[in-house]
Amino acid sequence: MKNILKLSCLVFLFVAGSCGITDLEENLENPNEVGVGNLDVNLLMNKIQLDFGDFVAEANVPSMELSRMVAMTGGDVYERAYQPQTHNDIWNRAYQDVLIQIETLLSRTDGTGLTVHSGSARVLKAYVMLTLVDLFNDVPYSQALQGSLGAEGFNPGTDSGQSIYAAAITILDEAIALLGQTATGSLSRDIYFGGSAAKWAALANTLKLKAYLNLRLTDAGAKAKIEELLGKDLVDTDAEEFTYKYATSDVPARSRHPLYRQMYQPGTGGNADGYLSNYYMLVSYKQKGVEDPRWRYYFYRQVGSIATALADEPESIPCIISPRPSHYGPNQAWCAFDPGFFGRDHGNNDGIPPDGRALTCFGVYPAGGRVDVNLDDPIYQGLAIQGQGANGAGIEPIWMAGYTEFLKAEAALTLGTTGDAKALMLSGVNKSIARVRAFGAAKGQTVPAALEPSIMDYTDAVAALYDAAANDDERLGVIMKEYYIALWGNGIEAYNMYRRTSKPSDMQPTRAANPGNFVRSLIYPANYVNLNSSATQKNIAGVNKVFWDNNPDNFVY
Amino acid sequence: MTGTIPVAYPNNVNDFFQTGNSLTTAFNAGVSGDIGSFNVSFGRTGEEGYIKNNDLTRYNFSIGGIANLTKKITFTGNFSYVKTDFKTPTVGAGLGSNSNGGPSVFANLFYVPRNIDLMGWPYQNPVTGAPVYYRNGGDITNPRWLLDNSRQGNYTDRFLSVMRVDYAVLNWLKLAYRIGIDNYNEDQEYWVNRGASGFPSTLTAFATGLYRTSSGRNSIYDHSIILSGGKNITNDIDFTANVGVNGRQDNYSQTGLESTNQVVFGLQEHRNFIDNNDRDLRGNNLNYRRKQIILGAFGDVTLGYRNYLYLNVQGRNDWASTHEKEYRSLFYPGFSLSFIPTQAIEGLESKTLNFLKFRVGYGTSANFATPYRTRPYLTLSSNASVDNLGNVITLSLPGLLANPDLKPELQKELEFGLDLRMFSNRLGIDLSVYDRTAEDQIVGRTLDPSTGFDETTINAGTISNKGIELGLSITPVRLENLTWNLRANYTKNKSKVEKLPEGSKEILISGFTNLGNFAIEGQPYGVIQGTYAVRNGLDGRTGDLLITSNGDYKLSSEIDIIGDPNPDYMISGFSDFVLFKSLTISGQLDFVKGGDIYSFSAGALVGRGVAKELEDFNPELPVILPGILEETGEPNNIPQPASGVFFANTIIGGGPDDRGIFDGTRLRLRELSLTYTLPTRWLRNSFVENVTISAIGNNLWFRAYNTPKYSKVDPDRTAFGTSNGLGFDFLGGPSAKRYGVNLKVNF
Repeated sequence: MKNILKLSCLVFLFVAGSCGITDLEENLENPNEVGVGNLDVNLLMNKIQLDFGDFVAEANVPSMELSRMVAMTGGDVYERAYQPQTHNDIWNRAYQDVLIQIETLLSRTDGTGLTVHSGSARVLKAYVMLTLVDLFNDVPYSQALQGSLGAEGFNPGTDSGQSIYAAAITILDEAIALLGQTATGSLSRDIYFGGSAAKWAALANTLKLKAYLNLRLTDAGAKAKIEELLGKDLVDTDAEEFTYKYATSDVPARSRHPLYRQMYQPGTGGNADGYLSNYYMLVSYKQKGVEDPRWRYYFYRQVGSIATALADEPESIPCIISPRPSHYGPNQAWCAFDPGFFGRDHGNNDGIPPDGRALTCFGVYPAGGRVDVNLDDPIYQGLAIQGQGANGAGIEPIWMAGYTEFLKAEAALTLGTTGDAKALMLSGVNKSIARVRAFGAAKGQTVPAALEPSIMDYTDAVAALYDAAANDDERLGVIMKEYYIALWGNGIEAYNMYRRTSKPSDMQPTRAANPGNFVRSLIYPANYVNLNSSATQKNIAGVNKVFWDNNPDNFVY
Repeated sequence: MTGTIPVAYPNNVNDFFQTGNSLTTAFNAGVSGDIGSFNVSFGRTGEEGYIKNNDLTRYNFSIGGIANLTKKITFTGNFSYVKTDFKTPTVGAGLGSNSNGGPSVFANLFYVPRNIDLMGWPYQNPVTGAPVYYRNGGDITNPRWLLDNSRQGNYTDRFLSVMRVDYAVLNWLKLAYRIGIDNYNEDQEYWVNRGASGFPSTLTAFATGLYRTSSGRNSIYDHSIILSGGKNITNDIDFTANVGVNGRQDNYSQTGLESTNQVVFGLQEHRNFIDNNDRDLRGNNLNYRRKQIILGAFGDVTLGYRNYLYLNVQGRNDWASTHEKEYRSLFYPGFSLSFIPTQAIEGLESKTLNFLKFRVGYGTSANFATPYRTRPYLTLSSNASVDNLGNVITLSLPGLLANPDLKPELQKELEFGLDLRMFSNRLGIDLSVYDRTAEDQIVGRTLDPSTGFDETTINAGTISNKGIELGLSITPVRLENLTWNLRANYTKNKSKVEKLPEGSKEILISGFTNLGNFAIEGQPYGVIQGTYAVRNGLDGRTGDLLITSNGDYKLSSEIDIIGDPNPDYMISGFSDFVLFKSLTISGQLDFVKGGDIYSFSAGALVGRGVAKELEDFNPELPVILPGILEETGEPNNIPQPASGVFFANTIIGGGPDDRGIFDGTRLRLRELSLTYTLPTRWLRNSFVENVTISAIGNNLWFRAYNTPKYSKVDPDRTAFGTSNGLGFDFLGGPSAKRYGVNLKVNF
């Protein structure tokens, strides 16, 4: 009996063992993925740079709406337009796709002599942290990214925005020091600066300038710090600009600029999705009485006139028969306007009419679309179709050379730092116009000489406005209006600028008379508030200012 | 500009559907004798659904037998082969305005305006093949186009076999070796021709045409050696016992490819597409493999005293390859005791009390994790994107956090049962009261991304399910030619999340971060959380609804519990009439009380104004929502246009989620059937033994009382498939009535 038992167990084990059935220890590593021993810092850096570009694109979505570059259509009042789940993607991208990858990279490259890796990763980390604070105010920082500790790391608490700003500035200083050293190895691939440590350092200095300018309202020491930075190497030439550069591949779809993908869809056209802001288009077209030399690169009109749009599809522009809101000023943008500009107004959350064939689309700068060469032909119609224009090879204009000039102009005017505010402003305008035109030309999207407005006429008009300004507040308004136009495609800086200065002062109000408090900082995302037991949500109807914004409650609308 | 007066096309949506049909044939033959027995069976099922291009065909063949090879050795084997082919136009989750992901036939069908002649107007461009629809912007794909131009298919071949050798060591002791094999190949396809529209900008690749195929192979091998025996120890006590070891291996491997950018319209071959990818549109890997092994040792003993007291004790220990060494082993025992007083006590059994049995049992079972949850890895993407410099290759930390301390889950159940037959078996009562606790349940926990990860696998604390199942059967009439049986089952289950692990106040089980099923300490498992319309009570949940200065409901900043999808109780009733021993009429009614449902069907149909409830509603008149003004506390007097109300204040337009919750109390006529058995004297001289014909109707009528009457929301048809989600209706297909005829012939 006992022998039979022993024998059968042995037979069993023999049979089972030969089928590999006793290998309990060998099925724990995932055979479908790469083992952790194969970590390559260059491939990890690729991930960081790629998803950083995506983070900027996603942060641009609510900020371009709030600064009236594109229309806010999620709701007619601010409470409804931004709900917690709207911001899930920004949060996920920032922490899970960028910041933890940066920490992993730094743990491998710090102290090894790969100083360009360590330095540039720190610059990107600082930008993400500064932007998260600019968007949300207090966010997790010192307790974040510790999920691998297990349950103690699952519920990170927030740090104050002020302490994160200070930490980010320290990180930028560390980066500058690292980038000044000689590296033992270079970046194998760098979409931003081609591996140049000097350009990364210029960017780091410029980000410090940007941070101190935001702090100028609350930090008395900001002026001295800004003055010190003016002597350093900043981003002031096109070669030093900080942009993510898209391409034209169908697969993966993220190769093309996201705004291009929305508006220039594949097929036979007429499927454009999303709305530019009528206010921004009015400001950029001819608000000063002279045409802006950049508007044909910024926008592409599918129709030459409202009449053409209505002839094509009578239901395409419903706002034409809606009453103009009584609280809009006489010169305020409202609804579509000729010659053929068709976007939406702030806070218009109506359903979508059949307007895909008439909407004004993004142009060649910065989304990589088409340049607008229609010379006032009222019956013109050209549908936006994927493949046209620069085919999506646009850029995220994260920091252009012109922006630095405007920051210097604002600092000179409000803080009295070195420089002449008017000259700096005009320098910024000229840099912006030159860059936009060069960008279009490089993509083969040029405007015929007959249609090009004179740059001189434009800058003269700007200078005249500045001279006619009665006081510093009006002068600041002129400078900020020019900065606003130069910032097309960058909602993050425009949103910061609007909250810091309340300029442009003629921003289009919401269509609804009582939209509630302006969103001074975004409501926390659902994947933070509902999955983290340390999180408390803000009052969705409250003012919710960022720490550096000590302006009055009704400062902006 | 000319004006037109809309003309209604009644039945424009109704005519989209067809009557489905189904035919099942089954054949079975067998022979038996001293040497053993053998049988063979064959079956075919063919079904066509209620929309075009939706059908299922299944074939099954099996043979089996027992062979007594010698006096001591017996061989048993059976082998089955099942072939299943299933296809349907693509179906996905709809939110009342297009679908959440890929194209879905039902997403935009139910709210087609009444003046659109859906079945009469053309739906496809004859030159390009693209869909044609009344929306000039091309932002909704014509559902009729999707019937012909989209497909989801599943083609499976499955082979199952169990073989067993029994050796009688002694006349009371037997040794057996058993092997089970379950092998299947599954081919899946998913395609959409080019030209569709209405997708979020991340999924526009669907518009260029998409074709995805995958081929998976799964095999399960299960070996056991069992020693079993039974003997009378004394005159009164007998025992039977089994002891054995078992090893099981599961292997799955899959290859797949997804192609986009269709060249020639209508051809579904990968070479007809420009771009091929080894991941799908959403980044999921189509090529992978999985292997897991579980080894076990088990034993059980049953002791019987006379024939009225039985005790069974069992235990099993498993070792699983999907957990780390320290946590790999789990022992799970059980016992049960039953006592039959009517056998034990003299004179207790009578015509009044026919049978009485008490039982108590304690059982445990184990569950192990799916593979590869305990060790970290890196995610490689060989073409993460293409930027200005070219192809981007990335290697990075994944969103899944490994949990090396993952333990197996243990379910424990304590049950008391009672079986009672009285009045010559005219009354029967079956009662079971249970208390089930699941400890360390293995769940995927979604994480706040600021932890650096978005998901991990954890042991989710303790969840209890306590309940009662009561079955009552009565035979009020028992005559020579008429019998009437009634049965009723009452089930009540109460689940509760007793304890969650440290660091989790609530866990998202299924759904979205702002609307889904959650496990929250102290609450029933799977409560639904979402936003709500704020009221004027202290906690915001009680009192009058608050209205903002715009005339809208005030939306909450945070989510809270808005519904419980678990039913309060369920009652099923069956009734059979048997006439002349050959004609049976039977019916089944089901009643479910409670069980909330979040319904997009109701939201879309009522919110968009096509449900019959709104027949007399005039959309030109402004609407004033019920509630009090937030600022003044006075009753609301702010008018809103009808479209503003429905878009901003119902769930299809981003209104508070609690507006979409309905109580799911429902009554359903589940089955009505008529069966006739041919009298045997008709068949006496033929080789046919008996013939039975029946006519059956299933799901003939239902009514969910607390949902809008004409939306026909069916709380039993909910969205989440095989996951743990409960109580969400995302505009899936309607539930169907079935009428059928069944013929059974025995030779």
